[in-house]
Amino acid sequence: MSNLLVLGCSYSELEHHVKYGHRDNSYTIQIKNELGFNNLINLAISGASPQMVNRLLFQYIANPRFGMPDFVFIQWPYATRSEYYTDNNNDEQARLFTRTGESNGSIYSWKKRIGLDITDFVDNKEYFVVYNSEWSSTSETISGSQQNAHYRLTTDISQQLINLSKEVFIAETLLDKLNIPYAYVESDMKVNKYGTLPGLLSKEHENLKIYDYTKQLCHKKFLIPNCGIQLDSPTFAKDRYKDGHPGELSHKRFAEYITPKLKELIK
Amino acid sequence: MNNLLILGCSYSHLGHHKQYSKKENSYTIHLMKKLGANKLINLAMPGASPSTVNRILLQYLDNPVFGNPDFVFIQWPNANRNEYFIDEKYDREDLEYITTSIKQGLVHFGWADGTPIKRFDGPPELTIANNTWTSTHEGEDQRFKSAHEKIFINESQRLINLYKEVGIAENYLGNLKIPYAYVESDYWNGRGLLSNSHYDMPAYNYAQHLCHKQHLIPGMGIQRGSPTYAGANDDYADGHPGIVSHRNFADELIPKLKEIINK
Repeated sequence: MSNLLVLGCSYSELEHHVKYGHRDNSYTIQIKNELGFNNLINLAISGASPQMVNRLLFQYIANPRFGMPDFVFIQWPYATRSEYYTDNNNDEQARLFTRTGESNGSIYSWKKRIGLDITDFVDNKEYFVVYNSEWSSTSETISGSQQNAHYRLTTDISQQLINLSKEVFIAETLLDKLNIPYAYVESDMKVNKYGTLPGLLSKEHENLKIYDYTKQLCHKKFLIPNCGIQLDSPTFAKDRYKDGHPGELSHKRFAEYITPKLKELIK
Repeated sequence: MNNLLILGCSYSHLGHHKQYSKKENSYTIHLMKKLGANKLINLAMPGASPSTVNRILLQYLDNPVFGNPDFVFIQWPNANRNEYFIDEKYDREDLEYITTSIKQGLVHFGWADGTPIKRFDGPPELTIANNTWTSTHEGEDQRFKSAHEKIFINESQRLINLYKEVGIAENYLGNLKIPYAYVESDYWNGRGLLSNSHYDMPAYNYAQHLCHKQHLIPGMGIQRGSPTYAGANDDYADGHPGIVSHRNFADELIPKLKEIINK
């Protein structure tokens, strides 16, 4: 029995594949099968920020309902995003993850948002429940005034780099301590007609004054640089699903690119 | 002990002691003497936030010009503060740390002690770049301050941010095997952000995993309103805790630090 845990935003979530194509199109299922893991625990959530990824990672590790991961792959969401604690209890109290299918083993992924019936799920071993009602995501549920405040504080690329580096450090430290192997990619690099915009974590940002500080924050030993599943990544095939997310070919190309690198890391 | 490194905000800075009495009244110098440190590297900065403390800590450890610390003591500033990077160059000076008394082995932040920094022939011994950061406590830019207050008004958000910064310092110092201890500035009325568990706050379910707090000295601090605070009559003219408060705090703290150091 071996478990691959994947965290990220909508780029790693299965929902749009199920809706517009086939679930197995997702790069997450492709790497699970190529790397020979039995189970995929896909905790990706649409609109997730780097902070949210860590919140889910810590919460899952503290209560590994579907088993401890043997390998963790993180697709860090855009560094422009964040989440803030608000105390505003919204109706979508929590997110529910459960076993959603088979693909040479079990697939566990996001199932639905749950409201007042949350107590039906929290003690059930078949479900992993992430409390979410008091957090506001800057890409989904935050109020207008908080959104403006967020943009004011994070509009500077150096500030984004610091925020992302701190979150990467937090994940690296946790996984290093637990001796769980891992790797990650970022979503902040893109290729367009003007050239390549390097990722925030890449060495190309050495010109930023803040780089000397951020390079001490995370060791980046397991960063797979210059790739990603985001729109305009080097493997993006311009084959968008109807909801705008990268399509089947983009996922296939990304999976083919990272699989040998992940095999090397796992070895 | 050879080198004692201290980080914090104005509560740990020597400026108001030098201005209103003498620097030996600071708890940091009491610690230096009672712990037998040959050198006190006091990198406290007025207006510092928890994230400023980590920025200075990591920058210093990357280039420890005054020597590697044998022990680190952190007085975490109030969790409602933060700092942000801005690419515009501000008027704020860089921080210039100098040795002010070689006999005492005292290093501290020079320009905020009420008198202009004394220029030497060479450059300052340690400069921390500071002019592209804006502090929510001392920064001139009200746009940042308003935005920050909009987001940090919630106690749970402050809890998360402080716990993350504490976790970063713990892991960094732990990896380097440098012994350390810390207190918080958010402790009053018998309750602190770090000193207590906060199971009543849903955010605590997450926050509790962010730092282990093994080297937290709970229930004390040098801030106004702390258990060892000697009252407003003891305050300096600028409102900071005065001579007796610093003495009381040092007296409480020193045996606890000795215990940690001797383990």
